[in-house]
Amino acid sequence: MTERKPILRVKDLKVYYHTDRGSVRAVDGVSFTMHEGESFGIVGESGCGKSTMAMALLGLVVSPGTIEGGQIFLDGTDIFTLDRELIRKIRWSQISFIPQGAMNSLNPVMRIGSQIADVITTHQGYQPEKILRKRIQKLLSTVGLPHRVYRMYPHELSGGMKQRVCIAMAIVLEPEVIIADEPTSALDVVVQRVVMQTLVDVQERLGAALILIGHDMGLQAQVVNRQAVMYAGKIAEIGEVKTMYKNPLHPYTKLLIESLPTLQLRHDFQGIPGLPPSLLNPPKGCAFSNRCPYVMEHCREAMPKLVEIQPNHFVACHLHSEVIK
Amino acid sequence: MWLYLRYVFGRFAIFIITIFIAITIVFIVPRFVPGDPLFAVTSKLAEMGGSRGSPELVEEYRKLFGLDQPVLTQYLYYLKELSKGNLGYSIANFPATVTELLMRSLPWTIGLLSVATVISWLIGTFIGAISGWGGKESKISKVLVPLALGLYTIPYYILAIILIFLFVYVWGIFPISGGYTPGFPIKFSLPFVLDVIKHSILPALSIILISLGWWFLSMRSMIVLLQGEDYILLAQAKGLSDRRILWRYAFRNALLPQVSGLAISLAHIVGGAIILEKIFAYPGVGWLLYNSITELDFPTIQGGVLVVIIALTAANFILDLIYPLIDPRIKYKRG
Repeated sequence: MTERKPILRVKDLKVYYHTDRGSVRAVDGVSFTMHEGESFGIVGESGCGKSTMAMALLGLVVSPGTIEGGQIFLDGTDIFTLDRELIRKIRWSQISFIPQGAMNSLNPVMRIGSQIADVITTHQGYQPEKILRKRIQKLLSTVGLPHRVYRMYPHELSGGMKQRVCIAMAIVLEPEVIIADEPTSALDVVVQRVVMQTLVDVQERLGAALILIGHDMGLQAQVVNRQAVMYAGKIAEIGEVKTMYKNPLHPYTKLLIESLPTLQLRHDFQGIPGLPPSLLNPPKGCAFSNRCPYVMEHCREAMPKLVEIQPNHFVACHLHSEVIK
Repeated sequence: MWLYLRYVFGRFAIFIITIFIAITIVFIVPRFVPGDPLFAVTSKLAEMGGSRGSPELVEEYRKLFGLDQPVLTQYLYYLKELSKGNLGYSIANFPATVTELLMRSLPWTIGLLSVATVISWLIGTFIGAISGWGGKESKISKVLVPLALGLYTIPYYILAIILIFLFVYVWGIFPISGGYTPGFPIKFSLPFVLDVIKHSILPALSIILISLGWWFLSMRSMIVLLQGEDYILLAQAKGLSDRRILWRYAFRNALLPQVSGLAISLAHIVGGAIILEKIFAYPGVGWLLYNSITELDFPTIQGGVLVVIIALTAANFILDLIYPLIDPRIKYKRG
C-alpha cells in the first residue's frame, strides 16, 4: 500500500454513557488513523461500541452519552473544537453516513428526491428544482436505481432499494469520508452482495475513504484493506486484512476467524463461549480474559496496551507484549 | 392518482353506509320507548289546561303523523321526507319545523366550535412541537408543561364558571350569556358581527384553554418520541439545520396522530357543548337539544341527533380525504 495522506485520525477517543447505575464505557480509548481513499473495517460483536464510535465521528453523541476524552482530526481539524454550526457544515459535506437500518432511516412522508435535495440545498444553497432533479436522478442511476425513484416515497421501495437510496444520499456531496454502519445487515445475502458491490464501486469512483462497521468478518474481508477488531469498547487488533487473516495475533481475532465457515474445511463450528463483560464495570485487566483460552494470571491484573508488533499490525494482548520484552 | 380516486370512493361508500345506519337507528330507537307519543302530547296539553281531545281527534292525528301505518311503511315515508330535508314539526315550538329550529341554531354551534377547536389545535400543536423539540431542559417546557397539565385536568365547565366570574362580575369586560345582545337586528353587518364575536369569546376561551393543554401535551410527547427515530438521526447526520429537521422531518410525522386526534375530539366537543351552551345560554344546537330534552320534544331530539351524527361523519370523511395528503402510505393501507 502506498503511503497516502491521513484523512481521519482518532486519538484516545472515550465515549461514556452516564446512567443511574454508573458510566457505561462504550468507547474506551480508541485510536486509529485512516488515509485518503482507504477502506477500513471495524468489526466486533453487538454492544462493543462500534455504532457509538460512528456517532462520535459525526459529532452526534447525544445525552446520556458524553465525549469523555480524546480527539478526532478530520482533514487536520479537531472536530471537538468546532462549534455546533461548524460541525453541522462538516457533516455530510466532508463526512457522510450510511445508516444501519435503511428501513427506518428515510422520512416516510417525504419523497426520495426531496430528502436528497435537502442535503444539497442545505450545504450548497438554493438551486432550481429542474437542476436538482437532473442531478439527483443522475445520482440515483449511479447506484442502479431508475429515475422514477426520485418521485417515490420510501414505502414504495424494497429494502435493497432503500439501502441504495442511502448510499446515493451519502455520496451526493462527494465527501472525503463515508461511514457505513452495517449497511447490509438488514438484507438477504444476495441483495447484500449487490449492495456492497455498489457501495465499493461508488467509493472507488469518488476516491473517498470508507469506514465499514459490521459484525460479519467474512463480508468485510472482501471489501476493506485494513481492519480493526473491537472488543468491549477497545481495539483488540488493527492490521491489514491479508496479514490479519494469515496470522491473527489476538486470541479474539483468531477465534472470530475460526468461527467463519469455509468451503474446504468441514468441521463443527466453534463459537466463542461466554459473553463480553459489562461495560458498566469493566474488569481491571484485559476485557477478554474471562473468555480467553490462553489467559494468564497477568491478564486479569493489568490492561494490555495496543502495541505495533509488526509494521502496521497492532495488537493489545499480553501474549505478544511479552514477546517484545 | 387512480389509487387516490379508488381510496376516495371507498371512503365515500363508508360515509354513506354510516349515515344510512345512523338514520335507521334514529328511526328505530324512539319506537322502542314505551308509551304513545300522541298520548304524551295530549297529556301535556291537558296539563296546561287544554282539553285532552276526543278519541276521534287523537285518531285523526295518528293518521296525520302516519302512526297507523305498518312500521316498514312508516320507515319508507320517513326516508322519503328526510330526503326532502323534512324532519317534522317540533312539539314544543309547534308551528316551527325541526329543520327551521336546527337551521337557526346550527350556524352558532358550528361557528363557535369549529373556530375554537381549530385555534386550540393550531396553537397547541405548534407550541407542543417547539417545546418537544427543545427537550426537557428548555425554558418553555419548564413553564408550559405544568401549565398544560393543570389546564388539561380542569373540567371545562368549571373553567367556564371561573371565566364568567372574572370577566363578567369582576372586570365586566364581556357579556354574561347569549349569542348576541337581545334586540339587536340579526343581519350580516359589522356591528352585529362584532357583537357576536364579543359574546363568543368566553365560551370559545373555555374550550380553547382546556383542549389546548391536551393538544400541547400530545404533540410534545409525539415529537419527543420521534427524536429517537432513525430518520431524525440521519437528518442530523446530513447536517440539516435544526429548524428544517423539526418542521420537515419530525413535525410532519408527528402530525399524523394529531390529525386523528382532531377528528376524535370533534366528536367529544359536539357532545360536550350541550353543557357549555347551557352555561352561556348560547343559542346553538347544544342549547336546542338541552331544551328539547327537558321538554321531551322527540322530533327535535331526533333531528338534532341526526344532524350531529351527519356532521361528525362528514367531518371524518373530510379528514379521511386529507390523510393521504399528509401520509402517503395511507391510500395503500386503507384504500
